[in-house]
Amino acid sequence: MNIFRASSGNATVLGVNSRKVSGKVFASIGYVSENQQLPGWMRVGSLLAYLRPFYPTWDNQFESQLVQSLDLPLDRKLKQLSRGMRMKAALASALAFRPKLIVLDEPFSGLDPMVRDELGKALLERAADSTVFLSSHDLAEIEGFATHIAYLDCGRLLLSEEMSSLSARFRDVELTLDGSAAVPSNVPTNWRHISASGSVVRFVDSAFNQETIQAEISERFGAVKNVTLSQMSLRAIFLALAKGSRRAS
Amino acid sequence: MHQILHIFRKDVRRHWPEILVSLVLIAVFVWYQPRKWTGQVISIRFVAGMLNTLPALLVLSWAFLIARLVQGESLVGDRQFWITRPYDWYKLLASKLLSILVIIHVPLLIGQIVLLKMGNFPLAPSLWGLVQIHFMFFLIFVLTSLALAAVTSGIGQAALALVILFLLFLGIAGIGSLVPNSGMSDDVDGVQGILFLATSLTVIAIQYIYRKAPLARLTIAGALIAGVVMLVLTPYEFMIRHDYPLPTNDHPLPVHITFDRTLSFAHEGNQQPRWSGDEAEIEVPFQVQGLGDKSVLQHHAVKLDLILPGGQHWTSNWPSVSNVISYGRTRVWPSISIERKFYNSIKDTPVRAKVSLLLRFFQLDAATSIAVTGDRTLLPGNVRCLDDISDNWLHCFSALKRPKPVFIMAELPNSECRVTKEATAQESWAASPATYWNLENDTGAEFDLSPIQDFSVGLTRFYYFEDHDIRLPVCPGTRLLVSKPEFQFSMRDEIELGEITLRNYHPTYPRKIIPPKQQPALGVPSDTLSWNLGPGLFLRSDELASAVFEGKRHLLR
Repeated sequence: MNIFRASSGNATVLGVNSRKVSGKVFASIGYVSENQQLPGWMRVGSLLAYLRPFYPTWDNQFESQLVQSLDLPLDRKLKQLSRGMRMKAALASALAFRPKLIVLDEPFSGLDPMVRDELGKALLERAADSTVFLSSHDLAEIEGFATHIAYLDCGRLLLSEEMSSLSARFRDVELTLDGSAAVPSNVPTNWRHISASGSVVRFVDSAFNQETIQAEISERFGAVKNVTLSQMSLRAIFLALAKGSRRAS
Repeated sequence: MHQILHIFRKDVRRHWPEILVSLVLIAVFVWYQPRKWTGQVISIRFVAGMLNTLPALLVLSWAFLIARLVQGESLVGDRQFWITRPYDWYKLLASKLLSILVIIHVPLLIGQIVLLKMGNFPLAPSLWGLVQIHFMFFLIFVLTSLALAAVTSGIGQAALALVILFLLFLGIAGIGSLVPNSGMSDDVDGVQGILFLATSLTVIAIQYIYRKAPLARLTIAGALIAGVVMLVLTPYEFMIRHDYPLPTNDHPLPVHITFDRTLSFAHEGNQQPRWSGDEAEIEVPFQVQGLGDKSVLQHHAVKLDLILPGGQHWTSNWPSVSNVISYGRTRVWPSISIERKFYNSIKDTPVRAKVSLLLRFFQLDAATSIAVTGDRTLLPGNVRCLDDISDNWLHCFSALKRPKPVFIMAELPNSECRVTKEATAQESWAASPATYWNLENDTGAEFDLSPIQDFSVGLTRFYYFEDHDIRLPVCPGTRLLVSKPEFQFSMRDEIELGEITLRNYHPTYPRKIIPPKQQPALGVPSDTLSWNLGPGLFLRSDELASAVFEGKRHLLR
């Protein structure tokens, strides 16, 4: 968004070098951030009216729909609104011009579940026409509607792929052996955080393959009393990745 | 243009209280000015005090307004909603400049036009001057305020920055006072002015184009450091020697200035030495001869060099003075400050001394003679004056600028209007006429909020020894000779005094000069013609004088 200067690397936003994103490029980008300072002296209605002429694609009808669906009080000053209502006002002002790209920085932080739900719905309604780029620490919240996931840790991109692929390739694996278990030396690299305790071995498989997993387990542990393969939540996947990344660094 | 107007309208909606305060202050300023000209007294002391601070209040209200306008779309930080909206930086800046133009410049301009009308000064000849005032106001005040607002995120921070800057400027001035001769170079002042302006423009550009507040703040700090370095490292002595060369055979000094050994100050039992703070201000007498009748000599600075008995060298450097020597003058007494402790240690010891003078020569054009016929006088340049006998000066008004450079002579005191007994109690008058002068360059309109310049013209005449003078009343019957001095050249004169005792040149209170053996006639004040016009001072015409007040009695009723 060119809010901060990039120290290195390259990125393009809607085909524009991210370092040059400014002025008219923002006519196609709707940006909402949890800590954005809105002009508190303005009423919700006057904020929308003020922003209207900046956007050639502003849709008055859609603006009315957003106001109605988000239940925005047009005559209230922004500084008098709750945090959730301010976020909704910001979202309405970022969606009403039907941006090609919607960038949301921690939009759900500190909001009550009701408001989260409303915001989520509003975003999903735009999903057909816009790309929604959302950064969040609240992984459970975004798991419901994210189609692509990227994971940044300490400024490094550790992961970027489709949600379906990510869900498919990560499994939490638990093996129960007959006797006491030990971690073999020749485990595949995609078996992460492998540990043994009593007769139980646990690891995260980051390249899960339904067809080969049994053979791989048998090869290393022989006869296994029980194998449990659990689908992992986004949070669990990220934890596994983060631990691995920090251990490596 | 649409976006510019859109942001402008938003700013007007948001800042209407501040705008209203500014407009009310301008209205009160315009209302109060004519009352000030005519000396109307506001009986309520608090109100009178507030009215006198109006210019400061106006400037503060505008600085506040500019800060609020700029910080409406704050350029500091990364959380402002507007930075991810389709604002073009140049349109945002243009909208702020439009706001400043419409909210500050236009109302002030209207107020100034109203004041010109109230003063009955013609508007058309003043328009260019008004443009000049507003341009200077923009460069000096608006750009500075804009730059300061651009690197701060709130009014508190801006006020703090202003205080810090003020203290820094005080510090720089303090450093300047420690650097010998730093007050003597107009060139350095000019370069520092350009540096100041360039810094403001750079800071505004950095913030509006890139929003890099740390870089912008660093630029301000860098400019301040550059200013200090320039102040400290400038070779002032070299520049002075370059700007004021010594006379040569090809370019001799057009006046002969010699040390007058015959005069000194008496130090008798009832006389106390005069101290100026922690300094002794000594006055050294020089005789002046050979100055042309159409010449005026400005004595711009003086330096005293002493060789002490032990061989040590002491110098006063070049403190700036401003004396003018014109036709008829025979003496001049440059004054030099010496630290009291040092002075006391050497005051009675003979020391070898040299005085150097920086001199600027002017040539007077043909004089215009103006007769003061009533209590009102019209001077060249549409300057209207009211004779204020109680204070012995002409209270004058002009549009946009004071007359300068100007040199006025008059036969004072005249028989119509004798001076008080106290003024004539000491010595008779010197042979030279009473004079008023302002030798500053004409740089166009004065940088002032009011377009009407309200100033005094006081004519002073020297006593016999020309060591001090007194302002004299300009009464009906006085003829003023008004000339325009034209700068010719600058020169330096170095005069060896030989061995002197400083105490002899330290004035006392009451002041008393030990006269030379061939004593002049003292104690008989002259109220008759005591001087003669030089042959070159041909009068231009009396047309101006006869035109005085014809249909021009509107002002100063």
